[in-house]
Amino acid sequence: MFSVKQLKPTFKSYLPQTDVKKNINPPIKKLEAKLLPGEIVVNEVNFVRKCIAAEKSHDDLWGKLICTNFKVSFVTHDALTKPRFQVAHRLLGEHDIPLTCLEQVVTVNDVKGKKKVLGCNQKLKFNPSELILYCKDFRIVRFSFDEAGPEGAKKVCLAIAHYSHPADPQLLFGFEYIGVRYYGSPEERVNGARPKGGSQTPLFDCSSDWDREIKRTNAEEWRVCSINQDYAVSPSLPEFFVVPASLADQDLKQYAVSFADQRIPVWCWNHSNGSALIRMANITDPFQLKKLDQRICNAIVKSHPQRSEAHKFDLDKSLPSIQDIQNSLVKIRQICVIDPFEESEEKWLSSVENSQWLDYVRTFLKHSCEVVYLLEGMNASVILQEEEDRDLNCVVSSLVQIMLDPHFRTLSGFQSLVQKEWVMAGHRFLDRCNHLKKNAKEESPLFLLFLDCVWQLMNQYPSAFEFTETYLAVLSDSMWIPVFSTFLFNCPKHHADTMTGFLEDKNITLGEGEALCFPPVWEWSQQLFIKDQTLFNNPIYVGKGARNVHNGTVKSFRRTKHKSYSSTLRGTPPALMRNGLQGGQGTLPRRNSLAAQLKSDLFQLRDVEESPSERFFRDWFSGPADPQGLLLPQLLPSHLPLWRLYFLRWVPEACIPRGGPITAYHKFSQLADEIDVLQNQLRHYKGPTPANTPLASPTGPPSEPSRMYFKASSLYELSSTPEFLSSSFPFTPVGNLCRPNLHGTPISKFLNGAKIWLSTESLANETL
Amino acid sequence: MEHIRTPKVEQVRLLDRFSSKSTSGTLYLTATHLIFVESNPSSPSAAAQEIWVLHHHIASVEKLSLTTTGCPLVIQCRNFRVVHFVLQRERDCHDIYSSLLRLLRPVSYEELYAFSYNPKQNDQQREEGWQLIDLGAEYERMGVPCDQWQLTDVNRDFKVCETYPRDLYVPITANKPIIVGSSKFRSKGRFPVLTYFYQEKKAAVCRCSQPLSGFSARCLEDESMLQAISKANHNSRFVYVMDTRPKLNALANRAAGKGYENEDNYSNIRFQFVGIENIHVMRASLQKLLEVIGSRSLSMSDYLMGIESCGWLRHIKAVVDAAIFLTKAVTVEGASVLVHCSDGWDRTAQVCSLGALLMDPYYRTIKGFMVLIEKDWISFGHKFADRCDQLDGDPKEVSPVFTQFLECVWQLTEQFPQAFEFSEWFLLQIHEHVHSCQYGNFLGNNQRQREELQLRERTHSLWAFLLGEQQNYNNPFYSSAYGKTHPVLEPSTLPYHFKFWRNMYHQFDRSMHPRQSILKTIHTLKETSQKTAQTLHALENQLQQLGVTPVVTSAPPAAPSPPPAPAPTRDQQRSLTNSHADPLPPRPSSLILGAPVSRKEAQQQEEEEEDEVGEEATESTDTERTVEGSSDNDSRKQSYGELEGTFDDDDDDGDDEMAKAEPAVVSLEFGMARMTC
Repeated sequence: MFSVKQLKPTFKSYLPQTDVKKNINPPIKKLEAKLLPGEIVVNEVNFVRKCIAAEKSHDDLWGKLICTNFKVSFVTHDALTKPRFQVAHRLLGEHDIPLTCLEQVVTVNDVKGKKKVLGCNQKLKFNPSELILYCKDFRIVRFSFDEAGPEGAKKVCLAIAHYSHPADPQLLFGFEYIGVRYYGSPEERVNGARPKGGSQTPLFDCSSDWDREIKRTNAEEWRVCSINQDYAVSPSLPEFFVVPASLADQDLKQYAVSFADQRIPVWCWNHSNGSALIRMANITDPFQLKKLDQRICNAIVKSHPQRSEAHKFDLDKSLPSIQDIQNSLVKIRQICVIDPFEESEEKWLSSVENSQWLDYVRTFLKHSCEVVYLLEGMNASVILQEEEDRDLNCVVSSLVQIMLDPHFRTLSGFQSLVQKEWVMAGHRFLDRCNHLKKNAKEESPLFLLFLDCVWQLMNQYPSAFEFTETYLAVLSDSMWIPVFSTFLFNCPKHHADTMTGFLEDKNITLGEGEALCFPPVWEWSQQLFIKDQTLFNNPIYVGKGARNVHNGTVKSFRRTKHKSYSSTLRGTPPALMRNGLQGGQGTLPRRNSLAAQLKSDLFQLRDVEESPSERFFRDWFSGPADPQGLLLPQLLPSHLPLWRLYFLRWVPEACIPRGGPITAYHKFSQLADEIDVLQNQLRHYKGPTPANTPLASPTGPPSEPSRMYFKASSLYELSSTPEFLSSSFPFTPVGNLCRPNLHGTPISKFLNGAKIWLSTESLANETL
Repeated sequence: MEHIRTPKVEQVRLLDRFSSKSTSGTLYLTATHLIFVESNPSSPSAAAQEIWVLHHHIASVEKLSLTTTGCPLVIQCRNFRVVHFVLQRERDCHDIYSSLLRLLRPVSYEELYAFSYNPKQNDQQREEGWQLIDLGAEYERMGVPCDQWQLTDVNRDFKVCETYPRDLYVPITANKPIIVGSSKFRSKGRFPVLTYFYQEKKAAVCRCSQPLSGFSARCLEDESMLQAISKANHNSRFVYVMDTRPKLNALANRAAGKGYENEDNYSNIRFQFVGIENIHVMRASLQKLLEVIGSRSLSMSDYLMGIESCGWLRHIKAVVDAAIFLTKAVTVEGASVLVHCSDGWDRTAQVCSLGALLMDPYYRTIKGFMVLIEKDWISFGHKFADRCDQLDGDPKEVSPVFTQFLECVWQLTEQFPQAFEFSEWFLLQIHEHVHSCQYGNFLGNNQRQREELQLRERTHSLWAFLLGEQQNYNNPFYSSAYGKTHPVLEPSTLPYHFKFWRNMYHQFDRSMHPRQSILKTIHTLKETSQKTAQTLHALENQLQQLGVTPVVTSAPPAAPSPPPAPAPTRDQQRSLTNSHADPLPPRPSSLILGAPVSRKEAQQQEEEEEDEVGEEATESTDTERTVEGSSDNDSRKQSYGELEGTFDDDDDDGDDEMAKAEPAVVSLEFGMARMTC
């Protein structure tokens, strides 16, 4: 009865329909893949249709599907019919997917009703009519071969499946890519010369980086230890690490034998009150257990200026396992991008609950808070212990440092933290990312979980971080581009060994002082143009770098300590009422008013005294938060939402055109830019003006081009929102697969009469 | 007054809902408020915590059984405040309890706060306040009366429909017999009338109540009425009829001689059920929601499952879905739509007002939103008195229908931060006063009743008060250009986009508040920008006085260069600097630089006002009413403070100007001195 046909509001109807495709007839150019140095085409097939909607539509793109040793590329002359915005990626084209990013390669034959998940070296008994690529970054892309040659299509599918399962790390594209620099012709060299110090991020691969960190945190009783040079002691620790000053190299070497992987306890960070954060693996030798434990603890206590005792946290006992976390991610991916909406719509929250992802986020944050309490509130050193010290410890130690130390909330500080607590600490990125697709059991999204936790903090303290959620999302996506040293190896030694092996295999001899090395992901210019990198800048950051916005002095993060606890001591509630004793008599709610039945456990106020940690947290939460001081996340469930930009950015149906938090960011950026411009002008006055101005000397960024992606609106243009802004910005779901069986927004459900709420409850009430 | 036996109880403890914290203080009971004042602030510098609870806000009082430490008293409020006191003596507790029971059950309208509230305005000011919103002008703005729609006087004396306003707009072809005939065929006589006119496509949004069709009855006048609505729109051959109820409910109504339109009888309609649940389901749903979020140490699972099973967000989504449907029919298809539910004053009000909000940017401004509420809710007879339980009435009539509407709007503001002139505070403030009965606007169930109560003569208008402090409600993200380029909002109604509105349901739970607010930060940014611009100005002036040629420039800061060029780099500026020495250009009237009185100043003003009131309170007891009156506002501001105060992150460092100016947590406690009397 309602005009279903015209209305049918699939995602598309939200945007102006412009028929670009029809009238553009460009001169026929050959469809060629854009190749990077070292990249070669393995197989390709023409006349492939990239499906844009669930069903065949005129929006679909026609082009050539190409499999290279780096990516699956789709080249087309067609333009998408919608205004589409994407930050240009320097390594990947609009429709490209790196092979390492593929989660599953699925071939389908419509006619025969067959479907096969392709692995390495597999045979395909049918000619595929469709190829669906499930990506690790939550994208889903579908290609149709109805007009392509069946043999060609099959070959490309097999090639994609094969090349996405490399047998050896050396077969990952990154090796070709950097190798070209040494054995390829000069013009092929990657991005010209290797950028010198392209990032100022300390990599912690030399002792001076550790030295600086010791000095920065005032860790006087700790020293850099080099017994692991050439990985002589532990295969998974870095060559340099920090240990208590009271322990001699000789002792350490002796202790190392008793630890898993010879990973002796290493220092992470020092609080300004002298407490230290240490991480360690389990002691494997049961006979040494007690003795060693004692010695280590003694040494740590000795390194504390007040000789406070050290607390130990066994993370294996209290946190979910890496498999739990992986299962959780699989579930959340299922509900975010795979399940059809009819199923997920009504059960969205319970599906989120079922995935447990948010619960894990909360658990990790909560544990980190407890560690923070010991370091900050109890003035005690903390040892994080985990069987291998290479997974959960990474998450917790970095979260603790982010909460306590504003340095790690700057861009370079954060990057150094990841370098220190993940890369150098030997987090098995290669295995956890499962780049080789060999052992699914080892795969686990710990790093993503960590980024989500950081996002939660960022969400609660929007001005405390120098970087944005876009940064976190781009960083996470970089895991799937196999050219960065950061995510390709299991530990520094693995890195070194692989490189040596590679040099030998390829017969490359390096010149004096030359080293073959991958760029770290921190060299953002590898991926993005300078202008686009400004999307990483948080316009409302209150910190050293942005003091022009806030003229306040940077405060020490010990502020909260000035608080006295007297009030809370006095206010401790003695016994109130016994549990379960609900006041039946004397209860006279005002008729059937709204809140009348709000019994819950209000009436079961606990009889317990507030614990010191409770008091510490409550005290902290009752004062104003300092973005340059200690940050504690609020942990009630309503404070921890799903990270929508990350999980839903590729879902066309979830995209809000010209809406979402990005529009707030847009406004902020404009304001911040305006302030920058104004202050720049002020500086100009300052020069020639003899008179004293009441203003403190501006400390804003000097003459650089604007730090902001969005510039202050000028007099001539109305400060309107750019068309391309959407809740997915700077990503775009356009071109990503709409889910099947979906006919637009729920409105169409009314239209189809498919779903009309029938509740017996309402019927009963209505007839009352 | 006669009900107050114990006006003051000392050594009362206030327990925190979500932690083991407790505060001790003194409890005062006045004719209008229950007030708790902390006696020993935690630190000498901090002001004492103070809680004001307006009697009208109290939904229930419960006295729990005696414990070793005293007698607990739990008070739950309609604005979602829950306070838990422990009184030392059972007697005191009982006195307070029984006084409250009496005080919170007004029997007649005259007992409501609005009739005693006096914000120190003279009659003229009050009259002006009431004249702020003029619905006649609003219809004119929409473009009616016009060649197809006219003002009818059939209801001038509330004769045809006593729950409708006097002035109604109908199609020109709908003559009096048709109207009267149609009204007899509709529940409560609520016949189809115009509520919004979409000028661009000449499409109308009309509203009514359900037809008395039963299983087979029909009414020719009613059919002509719909015919007339259809004819008034040349864009479409038919009218959509949206029955906002679930089909089952409508079916059930047929047995009672009511029901829905039969498509066979109305040749020109397209009929559709929408499926918004009724007031009873909504009431129960909110109750469940409050239970879920009220529990201590809630686990992630309990929270997610609880939110889902209470269905609250699903109901919100249903309303938004319906509004989108309405919007699409009108703006995309250019068809007119007739919306109804059972009586046409709950779901119909929700859908019509939300639809208009999506279609027309005017309703997304502060003034426009007031007009929208005035039109679709107040004038068309949403039963505020019954739904909000203003008098001692039927508990089954109470339902959070209006709260739902406010929440729908909030969900939209979350999706489109730039589209709304007002911020969350505005919605919260309106919600507060819908229940406070402090202003006359929401009293009673319909216009006729309001006229009988002479509200315009005897009470004050909320809208005047809100407009008076408009700067508090501005949304700093608002861009007026947004409404021009994107007049129609297209929200997504996938379940991901419906969030729990923490600042509404936890607005009085300080421990739940965000510790840093984007809103606050952007205000700070704006101020910085303003200050910098001022400094720039001051410097310019200084330079001129000193006779130095101004070094900058024809390019005003905020207008660096014509679009789309980016802001000038320093080099460009330098070249500009050296070449020009023009007199200073006027500053651009940028949205940002031209910001109105800053929030900070506003707050200071408030504080000053507050002080005055406070002094008065200590001076004279005769003006007690006045004092209470104004302090309810203040207590509202104070609760704002609770929300806002916690945002701020800055310490009161001497050299941090901005931080110093912002009364971080302080605003919460202001005015405590006067309470020590």
